[in-house]
Amino acid sequence: MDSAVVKNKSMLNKEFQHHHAAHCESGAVATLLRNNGFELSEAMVFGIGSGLFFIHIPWLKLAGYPVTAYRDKPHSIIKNICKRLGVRMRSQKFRTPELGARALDELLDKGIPVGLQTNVYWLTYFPDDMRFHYNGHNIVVYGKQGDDYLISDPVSDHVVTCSAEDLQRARFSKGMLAPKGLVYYPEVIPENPDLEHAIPLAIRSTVKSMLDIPVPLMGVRGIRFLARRMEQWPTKYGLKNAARHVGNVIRMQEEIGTGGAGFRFIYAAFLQESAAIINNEALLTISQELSDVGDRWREFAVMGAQIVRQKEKSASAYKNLAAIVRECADGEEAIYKKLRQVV
Amino acid sequence: MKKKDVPQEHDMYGDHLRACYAQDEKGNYEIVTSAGWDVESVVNTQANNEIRSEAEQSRLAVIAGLSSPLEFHMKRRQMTPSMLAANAGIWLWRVKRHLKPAAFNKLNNKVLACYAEALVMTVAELLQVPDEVVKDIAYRG
Repeated sequence: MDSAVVKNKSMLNKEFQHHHAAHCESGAVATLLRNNGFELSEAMVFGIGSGLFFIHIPWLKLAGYPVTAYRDKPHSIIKNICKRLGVRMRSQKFRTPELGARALDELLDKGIPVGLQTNVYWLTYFPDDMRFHYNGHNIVVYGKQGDDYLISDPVSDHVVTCSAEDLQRARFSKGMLAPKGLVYYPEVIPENPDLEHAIPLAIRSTVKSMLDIPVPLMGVRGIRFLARRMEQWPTKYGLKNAARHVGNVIRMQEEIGTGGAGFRFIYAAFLQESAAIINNEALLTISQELSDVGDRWREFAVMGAQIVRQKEKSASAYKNLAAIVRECADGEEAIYKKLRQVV
Repeated sequence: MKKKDVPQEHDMYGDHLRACYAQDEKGNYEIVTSAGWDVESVVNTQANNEIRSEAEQSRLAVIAGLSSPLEFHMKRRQMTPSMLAANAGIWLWRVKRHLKPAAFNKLNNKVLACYAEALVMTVAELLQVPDEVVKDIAYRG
């Protein structure tokens, strides 16, 4: 890659800029790229990284509940961004916490802000009730002051600090998705990344995973599958436990940092921004349609919260809830089919 | 979502604000900060209350001699047996045994120290449960 330049040297002597984001992974990548002189919004990172997805696996439990995700698996955004834009990300995992701490300090000494994978539970700067064991949270560290690390957590509106001890624990937490101290930072950023080429490629890839995977757990079929399961929850789990399952889906859609409506709004923002870049007006209409589906997802959350509040106790409430989810599936299916035609 | 519809209902993120994607009057998307949404607060409270009540049940079970203190401390740190096994470096089947008082009471200091480290507490703390209901289920540093 001849046109590529090593950007990290330019970081020295430059003030680090924090950028507020909806999602930790796209936010961390956008922050790293922007601080290395590549102006790319979080929505673009999310879209080009094909972050949008849907999956529901009843038998795979996370903290006691079936896995329901509105996005692709952790680190797929980073991988796709590198592949599609020619960014070279240097990443490293460590055998021991000591090695990991030393490597991080060395990078910070050189003035290189780095992305880290962490477990949210040990990050004490978050409010207590927002902390759960989840090993896939991405943050950016940009410096160290005494014993505290200076942290730009993408999902917070301002920078924070974290003690070395707590950060160490968060980086080397074990179990599912264990971070093993992962650090990453862009080593090479091409001078003229080909967005016009990358955007249609990324959109087609998202359309493919939402429409074409021949397994009923994923994509639009996954959404319909969730609707079907949801109707069975009251009989399967009893009303109280069924309500917990509803609550868990809503948390995956809204609470974990999705920009609203399970990443549907951030993807609509990406389509809107892309319309101008690849000069494709049709994307604007489709973006608006996705916003409308997103609003419907939000209504699902409002109605689900009624069930959680126990204001709505009948099993028929689950039928209504499932009906909204099916509407969302229909709306999204139409959107992806249209996207397939226009890009 | 329209900018004016971005919920500002609770200060549920402490001194943090959340980023939402919303449209301005012209339909252009931008990041709008949110102080919290009622819906989110409801499901978050549900999840936290559940963890608290499980920890409390476990605490009472320890006092009744049915569970070991390890079970309480595991729940209080929001861990599952497999998570605790991974973090303490002890086989899952052993962890499960140690959740009962009979096996737990026979543990040597070396194994106790592994658990204490994984749960971020001293061995002395690990060996007992508080006398009162514990509301605090987050690690405080």
